[in-house]
Amino acid sequence: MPRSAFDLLAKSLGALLLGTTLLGSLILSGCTGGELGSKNTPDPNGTMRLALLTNPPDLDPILISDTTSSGIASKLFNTLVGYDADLNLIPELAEAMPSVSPDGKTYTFKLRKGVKFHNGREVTAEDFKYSLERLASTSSKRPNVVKPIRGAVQAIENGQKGGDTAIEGLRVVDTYTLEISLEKPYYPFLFLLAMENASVVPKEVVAERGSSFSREPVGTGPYRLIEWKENDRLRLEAFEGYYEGKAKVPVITMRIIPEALTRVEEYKAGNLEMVDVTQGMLPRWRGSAHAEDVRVYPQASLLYYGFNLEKEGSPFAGYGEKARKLRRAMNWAIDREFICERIVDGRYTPANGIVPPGLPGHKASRPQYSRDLVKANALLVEAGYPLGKGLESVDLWFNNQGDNAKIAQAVQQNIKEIGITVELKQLDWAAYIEACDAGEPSFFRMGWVADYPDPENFLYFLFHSSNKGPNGNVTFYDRPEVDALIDQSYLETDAEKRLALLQQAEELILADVPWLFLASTKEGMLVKPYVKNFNPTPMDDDSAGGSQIPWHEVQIVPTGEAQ
Amino acid sequence: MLSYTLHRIIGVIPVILLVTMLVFTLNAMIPGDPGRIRLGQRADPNQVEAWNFKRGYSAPFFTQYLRYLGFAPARVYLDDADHHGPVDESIYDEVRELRVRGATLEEYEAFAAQHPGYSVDTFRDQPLIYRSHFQGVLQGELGESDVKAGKRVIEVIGEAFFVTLRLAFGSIIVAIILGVGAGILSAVKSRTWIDYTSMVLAIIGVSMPVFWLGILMIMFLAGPLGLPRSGFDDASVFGMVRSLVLPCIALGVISSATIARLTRSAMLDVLSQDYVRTAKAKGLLPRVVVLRHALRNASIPIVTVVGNSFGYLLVGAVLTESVFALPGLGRTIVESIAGRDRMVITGGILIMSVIFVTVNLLVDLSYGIFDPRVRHGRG
Repeated sequence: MPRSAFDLLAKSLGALLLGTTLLGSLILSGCTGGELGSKNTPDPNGTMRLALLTNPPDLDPILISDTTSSGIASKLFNTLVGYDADLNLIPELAEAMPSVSPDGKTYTFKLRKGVKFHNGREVTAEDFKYSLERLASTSSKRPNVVKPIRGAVQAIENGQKGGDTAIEGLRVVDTYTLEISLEKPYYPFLFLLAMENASVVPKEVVAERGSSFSREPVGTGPYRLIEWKENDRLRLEAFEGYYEGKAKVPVITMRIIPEALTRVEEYKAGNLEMVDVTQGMLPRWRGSAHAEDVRVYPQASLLYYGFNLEKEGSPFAGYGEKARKLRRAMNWAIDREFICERIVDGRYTPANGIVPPGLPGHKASRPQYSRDLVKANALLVEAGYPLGKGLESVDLWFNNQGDNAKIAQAVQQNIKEIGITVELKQLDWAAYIEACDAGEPSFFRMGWVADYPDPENFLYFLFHSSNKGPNGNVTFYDRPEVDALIDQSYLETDAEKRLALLQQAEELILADVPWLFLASTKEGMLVKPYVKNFNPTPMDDDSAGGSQIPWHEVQIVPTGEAQ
Repeated sequence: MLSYTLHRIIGVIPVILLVTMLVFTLNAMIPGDPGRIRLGQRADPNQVEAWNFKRGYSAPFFTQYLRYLGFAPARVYLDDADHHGPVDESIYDEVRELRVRGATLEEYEAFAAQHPGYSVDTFRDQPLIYRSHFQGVLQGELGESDVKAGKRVIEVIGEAFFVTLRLAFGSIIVAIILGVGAGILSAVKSRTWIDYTSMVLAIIGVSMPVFWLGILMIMFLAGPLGLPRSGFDDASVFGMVRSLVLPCIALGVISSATIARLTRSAMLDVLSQDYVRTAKAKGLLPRVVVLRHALRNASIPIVTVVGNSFGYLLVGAVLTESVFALPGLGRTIVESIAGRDRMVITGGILIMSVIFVTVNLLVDLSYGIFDPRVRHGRG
């Protein structure tokens, strides 16, 4: 018999502690093995439940510059042209592909009739004119999208003076016809029109809501935004009047879950229909009963380690034979297979050049650098640094996200084996991009995700001398021959000839070895087997279920018994 | 008591000022251009420069600081013909008036028609126009978010703050029950297996990362207990309580460890006092001796540590918020640091420091309630 309340309390607390300890050890033993449990339980209302890594900054098309926002915006808005599953341009809100004048400067779009905004009003050519002119205003973050249009540069300047941003080259022919004239032929123009930034928005709603349009957007897309709790969740509802028919999934919820492990737990518990994967997950899921959940598809993006070619005093800078051989030697020292297969579980593909696979103009036949220390050492001797002698240690800069640190360590180790000492220098993204823009590091990690599936998007931004620094050319590459080829490609209206010019430019750049060519990336996701018609393209990433997938076709079809 | 309270409140002001000064200096020193981060990797450098200018980041540091505090006029720049000239003061006042009363589009258009050279959009949408000549902390205005278009800092922080407040409140209750309970037991049953076990657990608790504990709870407790794994359901009170159970336990268990250790040592001190022996000798029930005679007199250090813990829980719950995907204050601030949203960083830290000093003040004032021997003098 317990003598007092305290004894009783003591006993029960003791039991509780013992229980906790036992439970704890049970949990720990449970962690080490066991079958991976994942429930295939769709939401009873057929809701598509997605997770976002971060709160989207903005949903106004003219403000979007990140993948999370564009993934959501693509479900709310439409553009004149879009992409099919093979990334060919197809008409979206245009009835057909535009007719282009013989001089390649004037595009005439016939619009689809009966396309409705979420507020019920029909879309007209006037709306496209308004939406494109908004891109030239000072509130826009992407004026470059309309820059090739005749008179756009003037409109952007007017906007900065507080004036009207009407663009001369935009002409409403009739309610359903829009004519766009360019300053000069510019081949990638249709790609620009396919970007989320060029989505059509209703003037009256933008005028009424002002800057809060970004938080309560109205578009023409398959879904309407009906709720947005900052840092918590967004809720989209299928739009009845969508021009291609109401979407099959009635509601999409997107919960913001910053922690990767939590996202996976929610997925396993059957509370999410899809989730991104992190390092180490793929082998485990592939070996489990849920192997069919794993989806890996190539991305139009790449990862490289650049050299600043204009850095004074850097032995890696310049176009001289000595520096080029040094850079080439380092390329031969890198074990790309190890990085791609072991460090990131096969989510990268070793790169053989600049234009990644899956894009037109990618040259699959070009051999890639493989690890060959004999070649590397021989080149070092030719460069005048036998066994790395005469080279001081160099800082390798990278930003502290994802697998960057592990990859940098592997690169450091590889390069050390040919006698070159590398020190790692890690910064957060904001500080990092500022340093790179300013040309501070002489050797650094960088990536590029395509805005549109075309080699020009890589070659122009990363290598044209007019883009040195913040615009993307952070290696400060400067070769008049390359500039000339790229410039010439804009005027060429024949697709094949144009591609040949760009490929020629790529070869010239490769001969200068401005980078350690590393890898193009793949996206890995887990998707529940009952999600159908969900086929990501290289232009989709895992944020908000991608941006190019025709979302009105995606379906949730429970198969058999829910487990 | 009143003069003591006033004294303390006045003493808080320089602390807060110093905090804003520090945050402001640090913000200016962190590498990373706010305009560049806001406008993205593809932004045009001229655009970045213009953005920084409009948001006032090109001004000299000290001017920025004075403006923020509300001691200097927040000069409003609309993009005029010289690109960067200040707008005429008179126009500024009128525009502000339009803004404040939420004028209709027609009114803006009529106004713009009277002032050639400016567009309607300029009057409606330029962010800085929101702030007046003297509108800073002094006037109770924390400004507008650099990142979230059209959101005021107070809105951004306010929503998040109340989530964190509930989390902290729940956690401190868990912490007090577990911590004080285990502490008293350890002291009463000192040098028995109960004492040793609970103190070992307390050490584990102190050293266990909340992040890890949270993940374990999501993996192994949420399912069997039928609780949500993550997220904040504020549709109903019941849903809210359910979504806070696991985070509060995770966070509470960790703070309870410190409270338990402190309660034990404070209680042991008191239990060896003569008056406790007297009370026992009088034949009082052990419960009365421990709770009324001993605990009350041991309460001052306990209240202090509970108060401090509460302060830390309010400001330091960022890991818990991340693991359980709660839209709280810690996460908001971490997100703003990564996005270099200087206005939210500064505003958030300002609010946090106000909370922290307030909690500390309340703890000090509460000593008199818990221990009648403490009286706050006049001097």
